[in-house]
Amino acid sequence: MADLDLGITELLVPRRAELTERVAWFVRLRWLAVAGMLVAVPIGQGLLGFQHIAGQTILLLAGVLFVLNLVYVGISRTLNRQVQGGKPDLRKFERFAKTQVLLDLLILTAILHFSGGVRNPFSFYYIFHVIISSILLSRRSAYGVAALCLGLFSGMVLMEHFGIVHDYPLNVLQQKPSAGYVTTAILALGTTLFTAVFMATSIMERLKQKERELEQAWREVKQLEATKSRFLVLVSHEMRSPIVAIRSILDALSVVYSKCMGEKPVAMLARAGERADSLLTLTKDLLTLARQQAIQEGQGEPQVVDASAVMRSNLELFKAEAEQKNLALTGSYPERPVNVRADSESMNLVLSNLVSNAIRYTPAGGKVGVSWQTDGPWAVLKVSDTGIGISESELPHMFKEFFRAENAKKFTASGTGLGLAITKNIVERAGGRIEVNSRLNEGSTFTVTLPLAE
Amino acid sequence: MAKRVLIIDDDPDIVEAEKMILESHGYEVDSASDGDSGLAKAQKAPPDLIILDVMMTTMDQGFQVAYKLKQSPELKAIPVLMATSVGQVTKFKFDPKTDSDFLPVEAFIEKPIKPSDLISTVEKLLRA
Repeated sequence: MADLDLGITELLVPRRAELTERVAWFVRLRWLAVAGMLVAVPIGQGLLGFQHIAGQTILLLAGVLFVLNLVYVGISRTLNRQVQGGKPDLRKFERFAKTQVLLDLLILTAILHFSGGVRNPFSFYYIFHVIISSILLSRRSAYGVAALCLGLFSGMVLMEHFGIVHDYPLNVLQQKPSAGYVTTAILALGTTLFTAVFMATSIMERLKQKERELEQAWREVKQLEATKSRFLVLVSHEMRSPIVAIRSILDALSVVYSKCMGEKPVAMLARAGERADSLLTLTKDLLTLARQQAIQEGQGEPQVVDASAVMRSNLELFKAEAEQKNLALTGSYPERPVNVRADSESMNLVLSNLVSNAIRYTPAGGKVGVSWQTDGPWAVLKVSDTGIGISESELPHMFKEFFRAENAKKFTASGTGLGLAITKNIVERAGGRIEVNSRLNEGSTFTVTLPLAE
Repeated sequence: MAKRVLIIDDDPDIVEAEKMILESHGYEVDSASDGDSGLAKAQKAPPDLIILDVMMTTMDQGFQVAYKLKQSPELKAIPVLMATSVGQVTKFKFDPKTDSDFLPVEAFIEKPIKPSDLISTVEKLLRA
């Protein structure tokens, strides 16, 4: 028994989560087993006529299982706390799992012994432990569990057969089973258990292989993503300096030499300057996108930011921006903190992207409304405008990278189609969602819903 | 007498463009393409104002230059205008309101600098 290798140490770290989940599952099954025993004993003795089974002993065993299960619950809580505390001891998990399997099998064997022994068809319940072991543990350990089951069962029925322990027949009519029957029962259970292990572990082996392949592919994709982000940062950064220089030279030329150049060249210089500006916006947005992706790839610590404070610090700026375009901007937010899981830079981006869009795509004289509210466990940001709106056919594409609606392109040439993609990225990383409602020529409402931090 | 401005920037095109604009407004402009030669020029003939780029040979050379300027008894009174695109490249956003304690410069301006912004900021700093 001591050398029974459950193979837990060879499991990868994510599997430990699976293991603790299965332990919880076992605990629930055990409550069911206790209830089953409490019901089965009176039914067996009363309705089915099995007066000879040791009913009281079985109920006592149900009590033992009940107490043991309570102990398991306590131990798994402690172990899970240690996992959260960062220093889980794998060997403790291993011992814990081993103990549970061993005690479960002993109790099952004892129940069978007190209720007919080899005559009790419930002996096939051993198969559950064998199948679970085949799924969770290594192939070798699964065969070990099957051997243990068979050993316990044969030990019990042989000792009963040879009179080493008392035999509890189901009722008075039952004869002592013949040696041939005992042998057949052992053979039947043995072949069933080992065939089950063979089938289950073969399927599991294939699944595990697939999982390893998936994990490998996933890791490669992550790596490619990281490379892409780094490349994007590098390229955008390298592009910026020359564009800044171009813009500066164009400005200097049009300011200093405007008098000797005439109207047309100055206008052309201004147009070249605008093109340089749109390139600058693009590099800026690309940088933001790449940086947001980098944060997403787990380079940043999870943070909590007060959305109310972000709103408070930006509202005056937004109002000034709206006033320049002759728009009325109203903002409301709760006075108390509205904490959400994000960093303040990201939250600033979400808010300013949505509000700048609303301001940009609303003709003079229109209205823009910004509000933060809380709704149960959610923080809800609504940015609405009376702007140009979005056509129904284009609504589903609004959050795609580089997408710009046809009417938006006509309305203003500037814009890269990255702002909403960046916004969606941030919102989803914070565990939230973003939605848009819009009618063409009437206006749009963007709604961001984020889970409140504890 | 014309006010003297020293531009420390490693991009010759930017230097040339800023120089053109400042000279057209009657400033006398000198330039240096890295932090050390900029500091040397400032010490030799202290200008009335320094325009300083952040990222030159290293990511933060402009910051180092700013520290050295403000540690020097003869130079610390010279206003420094920091021209930067650093806010978009790294995670940091600099703001003289919050960062003046550890970044002793008088003003920040993001590149590309509009000619009107350049002139108004320079005038404001020289008046102060």
